Amino acid sequence: MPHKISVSGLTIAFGPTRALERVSLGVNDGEFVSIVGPSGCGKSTMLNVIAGLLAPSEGDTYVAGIENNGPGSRIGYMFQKDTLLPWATALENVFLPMDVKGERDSHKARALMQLVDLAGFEAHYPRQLSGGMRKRVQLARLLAQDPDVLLMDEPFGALDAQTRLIIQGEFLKIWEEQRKTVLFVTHDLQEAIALSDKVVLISARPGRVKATYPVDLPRPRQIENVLVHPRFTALFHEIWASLKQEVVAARERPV
Amino acid sequence: MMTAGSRSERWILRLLVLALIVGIWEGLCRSGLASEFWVSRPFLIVERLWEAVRSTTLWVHMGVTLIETASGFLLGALAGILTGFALARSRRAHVALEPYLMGIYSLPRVALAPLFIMWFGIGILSKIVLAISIVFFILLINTYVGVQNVDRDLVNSVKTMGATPRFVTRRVVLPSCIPWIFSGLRISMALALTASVVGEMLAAQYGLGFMLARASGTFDTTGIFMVLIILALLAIGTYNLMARLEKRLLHWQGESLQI
Repeated sequence: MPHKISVSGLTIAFGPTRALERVSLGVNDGEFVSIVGPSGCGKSTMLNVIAGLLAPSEGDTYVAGIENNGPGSRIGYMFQKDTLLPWATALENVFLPMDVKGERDSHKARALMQLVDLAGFEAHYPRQLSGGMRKRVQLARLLAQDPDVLLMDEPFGALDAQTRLIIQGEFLKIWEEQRKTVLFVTHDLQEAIALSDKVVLISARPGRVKATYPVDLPRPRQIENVLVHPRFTALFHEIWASLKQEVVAARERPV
Repeated sequence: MMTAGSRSERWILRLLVLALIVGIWEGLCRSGLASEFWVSRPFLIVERLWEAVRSTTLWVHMGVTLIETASGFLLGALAGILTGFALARSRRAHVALEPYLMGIYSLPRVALAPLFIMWFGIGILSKIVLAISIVFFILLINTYVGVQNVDRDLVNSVKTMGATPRFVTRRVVLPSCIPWIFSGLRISMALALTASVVGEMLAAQYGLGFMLARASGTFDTTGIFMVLIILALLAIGTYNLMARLEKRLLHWQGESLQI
């Protein structure tokens, strides 16, 4: 079966600097793949290329067989930054992807607000919600879009540690019910292992695929239990040993 | 410190200030310390105002000024907003026109009044054109800057949902420009009134500016003060109108932008 997301020979250069060099990877349908690597290795840039926001210097990306996210592809992209429309209420924000398709489903939107535990906050504006709540609205909006593929760029990075743990748990639960294909960029290795089926390690710049680690932790997972699972600890040590070298290498290089 | 909490308390304080000013003014004139010829007297002004309100002439003059202000404001704002969007769309048009636009923008536009009076006569048209020439540029620049400042990440996130450029404009670019447009409208409203009055002072047969110029020409201090009070009330009225509209359209921002 062909990969749901496939990246082949992807090179991205900004002038003389090469952010990514000949990166190839594939994500199967319903698979959760995380990408970890030191800051500046081009992880986020790769997502932007897959989403069609940036043209690659060389190579191709395919999502469900469509090249470079051309028209007709269905990608849900969650940024680290808050991308809720500040002038729209929580519910209107959830309506947004439905409006793009021209089919507003009030019943479904309300059900999604319920799913992310925000029933009763439909009429609130983003500024009236906490960081964690805004992230939940974004999650509801992402699900309202009902995309084939989720691209997530450090989606929980800006949250405080406690809120992050809760949101990760909720996201894990929702994902295990829906099993959408996910490509997840993070610099939090624990998060990558706890959520994913596979962790791809990208080297310091120019970013190359250094290694791929299958995560053989049983599902369904509970975030609290995963973090103390012996297999989790073993994987963490193994991947961290390799990631650490890259982080050190990236720090010794001028940006 | 005394807290001026309740609404009625605030208004009592404000009325006290008014009473104090009027009292001192009236007192100075009655005691002969100030000359009625130069500063008039509150009771004379109120008397004149009352006379004017009951006659039709004041309403005609005020109506003319309001029509000039409103038409200049609306036409100038509409044209400015549309041009602002167009320029933000076309990089090339912006590059070509920018120095000229900035040149006219920097020029004190009231200086164009004599030209407009020559071209469009002493009727309302020359005043409307003068108001447009001021309002247009303010809205043009504010709209342009607003479009330039749209959050790229918001645009990108909606684009990845598969939105058409039209959808992005309507649902992301336009709403995020509204605060910029409004701040332009707020300034423009006051300047449109200024333009009308200045135009009327230079050459006109009707309007509050004409009343001012005529009163000044006949050394009628009371008449001048009367018109000034009417102008102040008009300015406050239009400002409140804008503030109310803004509050309704920008309630998602909370109270942060209130001055």
